[in-house]
Amino acid sequence: MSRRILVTGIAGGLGRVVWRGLLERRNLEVVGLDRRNWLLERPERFRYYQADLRKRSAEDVFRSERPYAVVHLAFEDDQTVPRARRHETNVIATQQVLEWCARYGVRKVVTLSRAIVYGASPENPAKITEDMPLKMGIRYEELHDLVEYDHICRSWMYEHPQIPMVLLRPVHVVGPNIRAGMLFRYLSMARCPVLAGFDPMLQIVHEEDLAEAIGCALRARARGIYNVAGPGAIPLSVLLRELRKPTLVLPHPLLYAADGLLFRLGASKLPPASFDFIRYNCLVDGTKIERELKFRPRFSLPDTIAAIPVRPAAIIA
Amino acid sequence: MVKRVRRPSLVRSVLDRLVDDDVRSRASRVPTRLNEYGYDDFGFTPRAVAPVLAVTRLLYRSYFRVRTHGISNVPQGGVLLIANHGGQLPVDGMMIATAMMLDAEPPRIVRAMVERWVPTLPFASTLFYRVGQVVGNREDCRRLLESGEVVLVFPEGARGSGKTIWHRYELQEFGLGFMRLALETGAPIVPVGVVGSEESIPSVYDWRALARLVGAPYVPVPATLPLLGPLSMLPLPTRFDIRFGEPIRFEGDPDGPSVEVADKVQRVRDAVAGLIAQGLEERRGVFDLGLSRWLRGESAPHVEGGAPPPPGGLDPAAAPAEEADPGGDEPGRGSSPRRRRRRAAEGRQP
Repeated sequence: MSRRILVTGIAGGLGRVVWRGLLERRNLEVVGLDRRNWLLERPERFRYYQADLRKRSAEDVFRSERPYAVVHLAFEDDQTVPRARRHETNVIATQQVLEWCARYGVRKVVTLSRAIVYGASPENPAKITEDMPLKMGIRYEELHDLVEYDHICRSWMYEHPQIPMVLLRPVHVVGPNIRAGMLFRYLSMARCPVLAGFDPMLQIVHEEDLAEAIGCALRARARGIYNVAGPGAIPLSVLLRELRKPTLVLPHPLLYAADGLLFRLGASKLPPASFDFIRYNCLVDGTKIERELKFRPRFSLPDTIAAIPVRPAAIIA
Repeated sequence: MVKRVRRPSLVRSVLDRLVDDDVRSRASRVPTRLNEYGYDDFGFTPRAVAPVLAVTRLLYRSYFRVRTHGISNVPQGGVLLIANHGGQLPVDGMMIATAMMLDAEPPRIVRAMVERWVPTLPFASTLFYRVGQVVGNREDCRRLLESGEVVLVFPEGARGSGKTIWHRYELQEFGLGFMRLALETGAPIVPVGVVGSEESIPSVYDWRALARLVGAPYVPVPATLPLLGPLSMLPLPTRFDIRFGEPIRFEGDPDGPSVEVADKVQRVRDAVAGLIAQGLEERRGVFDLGLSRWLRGESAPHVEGGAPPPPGGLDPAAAPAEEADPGGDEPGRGSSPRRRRRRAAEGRQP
């Protein structure tokens, strides 16, 4: 019997990687749900629905398809989208999806938070474990929807103990298909701003490794919160050097002030608070998922760096 | 990192002159797991250690003329060094770390638990991370001890380092965190007494209001301020004496009541106080430059201590003379008598 997996946000970069990975397994059927148009092929074991998660029409997909598992990837990541709209997609729609999961007999849920939810701060330990508080909300009002997303998923997990849910918190995802996320937007700048005298460690994970982690979360009878740490950590300066990115060294007060202005004017895609991630460490401990779900990144650190598109700006245009 | 890439010429050439094979081989022999790019998870890289060690070796041997005792007491594997803290700048930590790199075998990187405001400082933060320093927190400390590293803790914290000259060598209240970690990981504790550090910047007043304004834990006003101006924030060439005590092992419940933990902490505090008292008793003076002996014309080899440092104390010529000196490996009294003999043999006036 083939199992039916419903993937929300499937038309996004990571969604397409996950889609390809799932279809490689013979015993799975994939149901895609996204408000965007699907431009790739539609093989036999795949059905696509174009619907907005905020609308009731999305519920019909759950009602008619009765998926076995749901992978909830839909997340508005673009910080230039007004906060109210991001809140609708990331918080209200997520609540909606989880409610439908409970109502239509879904047996497994995988949701995707992000490791940046722990926040970058000077007192961070070198390895943040899953049980540590989410400190991003303290300083980053602009990014608060992610913290709320994480909280909703966690409380749902405890309210519905009969449905195993896995909440993944991956570090910066990179790869040829990834065109979203804080690191991507940062690397898309013509000159990457660097804070004079600060050089934090960064963790990155390859898109296919993350898709593999999602696969592990689906396959195992797993339940809980897992960091996905990737193959290792490198200093920002090494990453930029490997990518041959031109940099712009600025004293930190100047960068925060200038970006505050530029972001408000719409000239910058990153709110000032996100520059804390090129100032302080936000490193997570990935041993729990390795231990419990037997997930290990296949891409080494150099391979993961090599997978970052050299000129991401060109892809956007 | 960024800074060094931007202007390589002057800083690079000076460092290249200071970094020799000894420093390089010691840095590369540090047993720590690194990734493909030569970094560990904390941002430590042995590449950064060599130039820093070259500079601190100069301070260690020629400026503070450190006498190190009992470094062989530090056992292999995960160990907690617990030391007194004083002197405004963390020179004491720097000298303990240098001792562990130069005089311990195999050389070991000391991972000090630094103040939480250090990561907010540009340049200093990057430098600290690259040479293996870690922001003080329980999780990292446990992780380091479990992977067999040397962790240095000043349980007095800023209470110790910010105290004025009137309170030198008065041990402040010890935090309990280190003892809970020792109980949890089973790591032995080596008490360390540092003498000399607490006079290196003689602060007569702790300017609290300014400290609050700039977000620092304290702002010292050195006695030498009217004389030296901003230079007074640099440590004076006091004679350092570092004593490593016998390792102590504790057993008990790491999450036990604070009273029980405090009793064990008190034992460590007493041990540190004992080492300090010993160091104070045995030292000949705060600076111990040997000026009076030199004036009296005493230069017999049996006279311990030795040569007054050259003006400024930072003569690079002093370093090469010592590198070949096997006496540096000798735990305890350092290499001064041999150095004097060698200098005499070479016909050089100390």
